[in-house]
Amino acid sequence: MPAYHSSFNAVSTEAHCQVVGNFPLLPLTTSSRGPAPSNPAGQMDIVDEAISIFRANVFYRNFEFQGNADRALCWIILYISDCLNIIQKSSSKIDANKRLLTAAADANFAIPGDGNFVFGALYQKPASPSDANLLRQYMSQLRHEVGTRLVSIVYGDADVPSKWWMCFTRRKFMNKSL
Amino acid sequence: MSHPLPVIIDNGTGYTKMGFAGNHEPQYIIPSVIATRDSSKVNKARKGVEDLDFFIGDEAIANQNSYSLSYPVRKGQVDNWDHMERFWEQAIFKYLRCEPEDHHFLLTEPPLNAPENREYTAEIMFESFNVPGLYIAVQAVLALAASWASKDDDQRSLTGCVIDSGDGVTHVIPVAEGYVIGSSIKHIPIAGRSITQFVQQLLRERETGIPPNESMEIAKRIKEKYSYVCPDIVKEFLKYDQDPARFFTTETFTEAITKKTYSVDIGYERFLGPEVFFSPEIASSDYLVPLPEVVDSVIQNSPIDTRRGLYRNIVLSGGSTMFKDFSRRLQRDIRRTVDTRVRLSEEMSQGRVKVQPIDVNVISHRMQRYAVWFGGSMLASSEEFFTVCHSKAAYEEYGPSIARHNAVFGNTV
Repeated sequence: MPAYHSSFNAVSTEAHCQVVGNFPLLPLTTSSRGPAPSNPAGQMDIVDEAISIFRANVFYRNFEFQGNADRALCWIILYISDCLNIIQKSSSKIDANKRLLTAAADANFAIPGDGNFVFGALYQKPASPSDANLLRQYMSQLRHEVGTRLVSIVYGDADVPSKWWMCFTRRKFMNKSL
Repeated sequence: MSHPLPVIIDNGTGYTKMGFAGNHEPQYIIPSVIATRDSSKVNKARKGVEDLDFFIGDEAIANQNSYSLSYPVRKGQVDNWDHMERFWEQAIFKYLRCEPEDHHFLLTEPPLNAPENREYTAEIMFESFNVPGLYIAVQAVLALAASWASKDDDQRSLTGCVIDSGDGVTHVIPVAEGYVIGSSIKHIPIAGRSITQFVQQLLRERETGIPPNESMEIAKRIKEKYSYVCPDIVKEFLKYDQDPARFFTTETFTEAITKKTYSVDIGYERFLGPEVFFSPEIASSDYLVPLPEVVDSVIQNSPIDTRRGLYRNIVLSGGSTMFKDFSRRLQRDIRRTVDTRVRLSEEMSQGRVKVQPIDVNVISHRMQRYAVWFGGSMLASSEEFFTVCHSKAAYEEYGPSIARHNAVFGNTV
């Protein structure tokens, strides 16, 4: 079986949501400020999906983009790997939370079109600087959401991260990392 | 006429299975290895009898410090005939403890074996051991026969696709009416050992405290005891999240030398291990085609009039097909590919062609682990066996070339 794809592919075209380059701004359940449209309450969003697919997809080395949502999915999966590495270095749950928030607040990360962006030309460059800015804001919202949700999942009520999550830190989806 | 029980010997690359016809399981399962002594190193007292100074099987491994080990069977085929002959010698006299002059012998061969190899086998069997009758059967055909045990009489056929997975290689072998379709056989490098290695890798990434020299053995035991095939890995991960107590387990092991105990948590490798057959990508970077696709392409490569029969009767054999729900997942995945193809051709014909549904069955049965041996045991316990065997008289009349061809039989058992 090939790697898992996003179930949002069908609703990630221009007809359904805003698309910058070919990165979709899908709805998000979040309290952080940004351009993301709000997600209907109680429904899974792209971050939830990426976290549940992460453990399976992280074993795969090949991936075929079947839609815009897959691009968001892949990027989030790589960011989850990043987060797990940060969690591994943290001393406690509070510390991890703090480090992940700092990482998410850092606006200096590569976005599609930048020379050092991990997927290179597979993601289109935003058409204008204002679009690029919009995309950057949306992606930092994603980073913020991934960080906060991951801490509660990986730690649960304990103060040490679950080994059943930390065992994935050494794996690299598609042999890439952010 | 009643005969003494025929002897069945199945020489595999890893293990040799041997025993008498009519039994359900082989009497001896020993590693196919022989320990011989280098003639230059033999001490004077034993000079002259070094031919007799050797061990086979587990004893060979136990004596590997003072003897040199060699594996007479390589990739299913006999590699060293001198060693093979001596291996059979001990197998017959030391293990089975029978008089080869009294018993008919059924030996096995891999598909695509050269006829010359059958001649060598016949030479050794008739001239060295003086057997009264010999039959050389193809392993895949015996595996098909073994699956009859789970079927009604009218469904017994020698047409089917055999998936034989041992430790090193997995073979997919189509058989029509008892004859192997040699041109469409496929081998894939994923088998028991690749799964063990993948489980070992997963354990290494997570568990601390497994002694490195035991990690392979631990991985193998965990694989054999806990593994199963799941329908969907993402959903399986969620099941583990929701009900950890039911799926995660811990097992305690004792270190061989220091006798210290250590415990190992067992989790996702339970279903990720066998998943390697279905998504090889997760474990290897050079082999990427899933088993169900290989089976489908083997059948599609076979003559068109055999394909329905092959899809209807996909038979498993060998230890690495023993995972729980292996057959179910394989059947689902193959059926999915077949149904998609049928739908596509119906659409392309715009409704002018109606395809009769294709029946896909993967057959799992109790005798799967030693299917080849058991198939031999079944066939050799029929009276017909003695009529198709090559006899000693025929060998003396015509020579070893008689063993080149072995008649198919058993359709009417």
